[in-house]
Amino acid sequence: MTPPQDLDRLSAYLDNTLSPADRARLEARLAREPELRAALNDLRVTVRLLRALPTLKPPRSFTLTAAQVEAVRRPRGLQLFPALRLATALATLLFVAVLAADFGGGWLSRGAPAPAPQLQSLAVEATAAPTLAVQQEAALAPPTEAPAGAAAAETEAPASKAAEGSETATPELAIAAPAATVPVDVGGNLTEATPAPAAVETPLEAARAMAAPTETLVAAADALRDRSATETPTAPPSVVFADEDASTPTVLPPLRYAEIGLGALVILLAIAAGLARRAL
Amino acid sequence: MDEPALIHQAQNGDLNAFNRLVLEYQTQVYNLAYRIMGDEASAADAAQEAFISAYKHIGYYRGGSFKAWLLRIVTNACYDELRRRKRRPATSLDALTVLPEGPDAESEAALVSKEESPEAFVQRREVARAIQNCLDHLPEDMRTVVVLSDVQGMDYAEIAESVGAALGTVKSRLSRARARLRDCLQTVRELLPAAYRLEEESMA
Repeated sequence: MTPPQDLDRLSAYLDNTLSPADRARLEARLAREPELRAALNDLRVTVRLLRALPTLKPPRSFTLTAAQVEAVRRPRGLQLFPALRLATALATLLFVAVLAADFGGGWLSRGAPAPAPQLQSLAVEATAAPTLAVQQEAALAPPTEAPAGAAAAETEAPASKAAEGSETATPELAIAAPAATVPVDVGGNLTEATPAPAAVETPLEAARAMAAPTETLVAAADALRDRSATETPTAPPSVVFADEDASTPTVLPPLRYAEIGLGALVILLAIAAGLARRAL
Repeated sequence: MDEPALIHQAQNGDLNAFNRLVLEYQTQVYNLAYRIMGDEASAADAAQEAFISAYKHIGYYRGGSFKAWLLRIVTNACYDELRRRKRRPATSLDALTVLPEGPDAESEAALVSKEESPEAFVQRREVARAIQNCLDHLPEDMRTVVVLSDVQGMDYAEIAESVGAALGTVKSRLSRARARLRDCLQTVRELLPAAYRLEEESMA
């Protein structure tokens, strides 16, 4: 039985890592000790057998796919989501503040064109920043007794898209719904008569419509309904906007730019927050 | 392959650059995992796990031997997998390899020619399996060191970096692992061509 120290020396000797002095000493012993020589031979054969083990071909490639990398990056989404949620909430607050400041601007006379699409962004906000969105609804929306769910369901208006996009936000949607009723109705009438208005670019009007007293909205809705009944169906929504612009020839006030910008920012942040949340 | 450049690109999130590193090292990584784990499926899992972990942590790589850095992740992935296995021992029974026995193995052994080199000898499936079985019975830390050294041919310094141990520790682990393997491989070595064994003895 070879003592452990000798095994260490023999092992190091095989790897050629002994100091010259140790090496010389061991070689002298090997020359006169057959047992040590046999032990060295055993180790040498062992190492040679191990070295001869075949290199195996990997059964598959281990390159990473984008999906695997996405899974790796999830922890970053965890940090991203609260930040985006906060940003959305702050932008929404600012948006509401600017809207409130603009209240006295005589917008009542301009009517309320096609507000329905704005609902989508509001609903998305509701998923991202529920409490603030609720506050916003409370501040903006006049209470109406209309059957919100029915209206939203009847029209294939963006309201239902928003509902799809926010499976987790049913309570918020319920709160948002009363505000949604009248505009959806208006939007529904509009879409019956004309191609769907691309009013996402005009969040200002939409938001104003949200803020309008019920009577005004109803009046506007009636007006639009009358119009859709009398006018030819080919009339594009731009005509409606053009009419409106003609009745208000003033240049856009700076606040309106701020509102448009903030509205767009809120929508973008809400979408980004939604994506970050989905990545969790 | 400009390895430092690829590493730098990978650190900046370039998946293609990282995958080129994967292609460069995957054979070595898989073989190390296979020799530590002892079966194909576990080795593939550990290798994949190791590359994912390497991608996740590549920002922490601060120079030195990239191979050693990577292989350390591989050994850790293997140890994790082995620990999981110990908690669920039932699954590991399938993976256990057995020494060759029965008429097939015997007849194969009888065919060993006097001229067969140990390399050719080990290429035969049941001999490789017998050696793997001996490796499987070593303690993990010894197994890793002897695989890195004698199967993969790395030097002491690289091994020390790969297992996060001092050079002296590596040397003694290697020596003990070889002594244990020598005992375990006794039966296999007796099957070696006599000429080879005599040659070895005369060389000593």
